[in-house]
Amino acid sequence: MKYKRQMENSFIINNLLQKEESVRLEFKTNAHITTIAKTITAFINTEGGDLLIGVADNKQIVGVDNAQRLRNRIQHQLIDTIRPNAPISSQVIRYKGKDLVLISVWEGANKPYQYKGQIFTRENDRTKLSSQDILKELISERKAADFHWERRSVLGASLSDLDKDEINKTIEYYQDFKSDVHFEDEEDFLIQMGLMQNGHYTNACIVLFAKSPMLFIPQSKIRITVYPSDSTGDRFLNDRIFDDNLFSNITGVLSFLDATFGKSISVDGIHRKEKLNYPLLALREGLLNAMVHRDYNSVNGFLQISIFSDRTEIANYGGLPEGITLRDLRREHNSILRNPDIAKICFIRRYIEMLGSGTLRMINDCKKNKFKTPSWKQNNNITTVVFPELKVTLKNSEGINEGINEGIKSKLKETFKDENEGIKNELITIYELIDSTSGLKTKDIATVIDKGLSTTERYLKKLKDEGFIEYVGSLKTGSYTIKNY
Amino acid sequence: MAKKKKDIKIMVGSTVYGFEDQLSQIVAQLQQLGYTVLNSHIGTIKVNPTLSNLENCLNTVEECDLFLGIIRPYYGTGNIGDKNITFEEIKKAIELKKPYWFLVHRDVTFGRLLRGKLRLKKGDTIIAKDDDEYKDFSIVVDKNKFFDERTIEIYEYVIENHIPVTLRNGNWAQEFYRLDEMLTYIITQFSDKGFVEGIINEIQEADGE
Repeated sequence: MKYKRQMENSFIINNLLQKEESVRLEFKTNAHITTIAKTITAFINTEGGDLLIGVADNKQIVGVDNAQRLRNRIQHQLIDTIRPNAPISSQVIRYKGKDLVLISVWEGANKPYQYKGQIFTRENDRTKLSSQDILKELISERKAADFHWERRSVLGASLSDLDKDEINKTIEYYQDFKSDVHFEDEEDFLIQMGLMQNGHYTNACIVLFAKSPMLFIPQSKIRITVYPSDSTGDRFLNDRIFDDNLFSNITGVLSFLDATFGKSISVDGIHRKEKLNYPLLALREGLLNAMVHRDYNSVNGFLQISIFSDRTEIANYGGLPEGITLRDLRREHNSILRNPDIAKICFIRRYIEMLGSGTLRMINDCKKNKFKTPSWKQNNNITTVVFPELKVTLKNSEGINEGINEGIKSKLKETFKDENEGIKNELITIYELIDSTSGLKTKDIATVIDKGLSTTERYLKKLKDEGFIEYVGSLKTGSYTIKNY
Repeated sequence: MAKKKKDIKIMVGSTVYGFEDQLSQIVAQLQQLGYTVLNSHIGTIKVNPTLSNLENCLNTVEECDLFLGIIRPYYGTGNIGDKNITFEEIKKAIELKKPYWFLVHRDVTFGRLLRGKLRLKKGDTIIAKDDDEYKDFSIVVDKNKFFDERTIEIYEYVIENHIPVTLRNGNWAQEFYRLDEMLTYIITQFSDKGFVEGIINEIQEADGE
């Protein structure tokens, strides 16, 4: 399984090998820890980057022996020696029959970073000990980071506003990441992580750990709307607000998406095969991207997921960070983070596995699972990722009939007992749709159940004839509604 | 006299709790500026196993050419009996007339100001120290993770015992709130090594008289 995973990420190597060594990329033939640590420190102090071990300067693949052991050793040493502690991801990737080790880091938000008391930075493709001028630059970058929204104090919040279980869970993950650390209690952890400063909780802390972040940061919510057509409008099939802390929101949104898109079950000989109707990894990555890149600065800031009849969009307030273009998103790119403190905890919690290759992995996941690849757009300070053809199909999704009360459900089943199982389910689905959403027309219902107009009309007629639903209003402006007995 | 490159040892005395990263950044910065940094928390002090932790730290104060004290609002651990290592280091540095600089957190300076203004409603002055005799008139701060009133004592000790050093320009004690303020102060004060050497020589000469 692991081996398969190692192979799967070879597209990342392909991508890196197309480039030359640069401020963010370095190839190393062997694993000399001091050289590696200096370069990684320099990456963190400069623009983040990738270091690939097992590749010569001329891009010849030489590979490394005992790759997994080597990777573990390097990972531990980097985490132990580079200060302040920064997210560092590493992995073994099998490429053309050889094992390579890839180490990736983001640009850090707690500059200056150092390795064994020395501060390194990156200048073009060289790692250098920083000069006094560079030091001054790093200090001013640090100042800017400390003034950023994430690190501002939330006044009026106290420990009782925080979800202690969530903090403790995070402490466990952190101890997994950096083994020799000990924390006295939850507050101690928050102080050490910089999420509590000068006696105050930071905005990042509230987004991550508050029981009700909306009390302090109303813009921290996530909204999902399911539309019956291909554009936004007054009518929608479902509309949900997720207003918990970040972790509950991730779980909530992902299970909502799972219930909405569902999975297909096919029988291949004696094997029952399940296939998700959506690219899980890509959607997850898209959601996390939006979460760590969204701009919380404005109270109008939002994260909106819209599911249309022909696509799904994840839109977040906040343009692309300076220095990143839409074109970059389709390639391996520098991940300049808008919310580095939130991102770091997401990394610790393993919601973000690999650094800097998120969009690339989204594209790959879609290709691999035969979904259309996503595209990105940006306007009016809003960044949107679009998954074409990813739409809601209620068939096959589990639990869709949960909304109707059992009495009506059995009545529907009884009335249509002569129909086959498939039609019976479609009729229940349509009933539930009309019950939960007002103003639906035949066209809308057809879109949702993914059937032609005439089939949908036939179903509607059955429900109408048996007195379950009725059409209210004029032919032009009217819509279906539940008939009360 | 021709300039010769001298190894200048600077001791950084500070409490550590919740400050490890920032302290290590300050140390790295001073090293980058060409100083040898002595700090008990980054393991750059000589440890004599037959001596106590406190004694080892105090010996280091004797060894250093300069002393940079950082007074933060929280003591944290580092107390041996009723002695706080950082406070003892600071006292020793002042006693030995080491050229010193201090960075004082805003909460400490504010805490002192506020304490000076506290009164009992009856109009009596409060007693800052927890003295048995005046128990009813004394105040204490509840145990917490962001302010320890004993840090005010350190701060007061430092300002009350301040000896002006004529050669030094700028502030010998600087208030700070964020790391960048400390790092900027350090660059300003310590990037000119010739100037710093001058201060050391001045004090040594004064001492020799």
